[in-house]
Amino acid sequence: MLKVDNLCKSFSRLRILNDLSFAVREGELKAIIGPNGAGKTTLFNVITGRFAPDEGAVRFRDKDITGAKPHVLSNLGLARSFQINNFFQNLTVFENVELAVQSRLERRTAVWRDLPHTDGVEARTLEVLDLIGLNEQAGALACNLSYGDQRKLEIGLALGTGPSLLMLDEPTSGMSRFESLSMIELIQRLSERVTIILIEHDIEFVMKVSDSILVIHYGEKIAEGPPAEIERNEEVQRVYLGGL
Amino acid sequence: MTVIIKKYYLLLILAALVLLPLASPALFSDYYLDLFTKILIFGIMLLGYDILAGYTGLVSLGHALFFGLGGYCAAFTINHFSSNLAPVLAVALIVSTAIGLFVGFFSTQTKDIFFVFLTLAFAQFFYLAAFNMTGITGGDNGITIAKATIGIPSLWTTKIPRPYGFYYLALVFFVLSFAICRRVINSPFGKVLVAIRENEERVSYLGYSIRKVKIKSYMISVWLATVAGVLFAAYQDFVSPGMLHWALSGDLILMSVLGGMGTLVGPVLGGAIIILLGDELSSLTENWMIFIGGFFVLMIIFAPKGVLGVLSNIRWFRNHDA
Repeated sequence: MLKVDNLCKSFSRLRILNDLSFAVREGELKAIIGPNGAGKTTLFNVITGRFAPDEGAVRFRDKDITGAKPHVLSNLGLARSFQINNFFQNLTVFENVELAVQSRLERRTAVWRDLPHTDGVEARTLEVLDLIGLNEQAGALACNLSYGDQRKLEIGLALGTGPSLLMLDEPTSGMSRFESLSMIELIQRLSERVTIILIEHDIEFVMKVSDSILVIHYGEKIAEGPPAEIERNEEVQRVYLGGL
Repeated sequence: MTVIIKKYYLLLILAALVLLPLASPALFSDYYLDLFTKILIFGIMLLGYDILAGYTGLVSLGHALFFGLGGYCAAFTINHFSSNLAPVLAVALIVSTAIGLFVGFFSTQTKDIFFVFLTLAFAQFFYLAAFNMTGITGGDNGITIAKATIGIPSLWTTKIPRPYGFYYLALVFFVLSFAICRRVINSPFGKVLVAIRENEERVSYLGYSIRKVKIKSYMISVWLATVAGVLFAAYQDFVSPGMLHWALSGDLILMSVLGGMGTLVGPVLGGAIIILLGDELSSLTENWMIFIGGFFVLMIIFAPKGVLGVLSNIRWFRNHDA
């Protein structure tokens, strides 16, 4: 589904991604792990068009999407969430998700007419809110949600676009243990519906839910494979897991 | 009573505006009707500016460009081709669309302070061109314009009577502009505008082409500024480079912030306050702008959401908010 070939990205003289290659199969949940500063978020940013790569290529469903703009990628079915909440603080939870759902319609920026009820925006929005467990907070301003619920809304925005590939950047970061459990449950449910690439530091969770794990260190791939294999990998143990 | 006000407050305001001239000269002189006409004309431009700055978050310091462009198009068309307002408006809108797309294409590639200064640079280019090309524009002396007419050419045309005729003409355009802007902000497009103002990057990640939306928003404000410019020049029978000057664009920001940006009604209210207050104060002192400036500073400190924000905090208005 997604194929990343020899991706390189530098900022000034600092090389963040170095000749990184991997692939993601349809229906797979692939986790990306690595120490802080390994280049995980930069990798997301390069794939999703925030930064253009210096070298290398990204293919999505056999289409070259290297350096494509975020809105183009979103319309191809690639959605992402952010490590730091990046939604519409002063809109309600419903309005946030509605904007995402509306974005799939042909008349998404119509000026002279409303979206007819037949377009199903409201129904689809409620469906997404139900899925992320925020239907009771639909009318609340996004900025007034608890942190855990804000993290769910972050995913709800990505889900609202109806993606075929969902890229989640540390969805449990900053969450309490209780909130994390609820998020883990959500991601497990989502993995039955959509292909997921997940950046996550909770190794226990990653080992439990992933089909495959990519380990990067200083922008380079040091290992890739099923969780059991990664757990046994000596180099992964040395640079990241530290004898888990 | 309050239920009626709540439900029909816009119609009540419209009724008041329609009946306003009947109070002249019993309650106020024709001079004030002239001021109200100017408020309505500026109101048209402020409505468009609110779509751009208030809803989309793109603060332009060069919007007078299209007000002045409308004025100069009116001057050339009325003096050389037709005094009828319909073709005058058509010519002005065609010219401003071409220039608006050009300026908008480059300006919307930027945001924040860069957008402010790029729009300012374009506007000042046209201002200096109008100021220096004396053979065509009359330079600083401007151009005197023949009386504009309305009607159907070769069937029936009439000069627009003043002050009443022009007041009602401005009112018709103002009401139409308000209806259009209200439609825009309540449309799917309007929701995306607000989203861009709130978080441009995320809108892009949702699959919207930010650039296209921004250009659309820009063009709506360009067209309304042009219509206002045509009406203003035709009303004054005169156009000068002052209509293109950045100070006028600055006034738009002042009026919008004072009234309450992103509310449609607020900027028009701000425009009315500045025009009426400026007129009253200027009859009292030469240094009237100091008082306007002081008032603005106080509003920014104590009521950053503008006059409309203050009103919405008053219990009665909050309880009866429509």
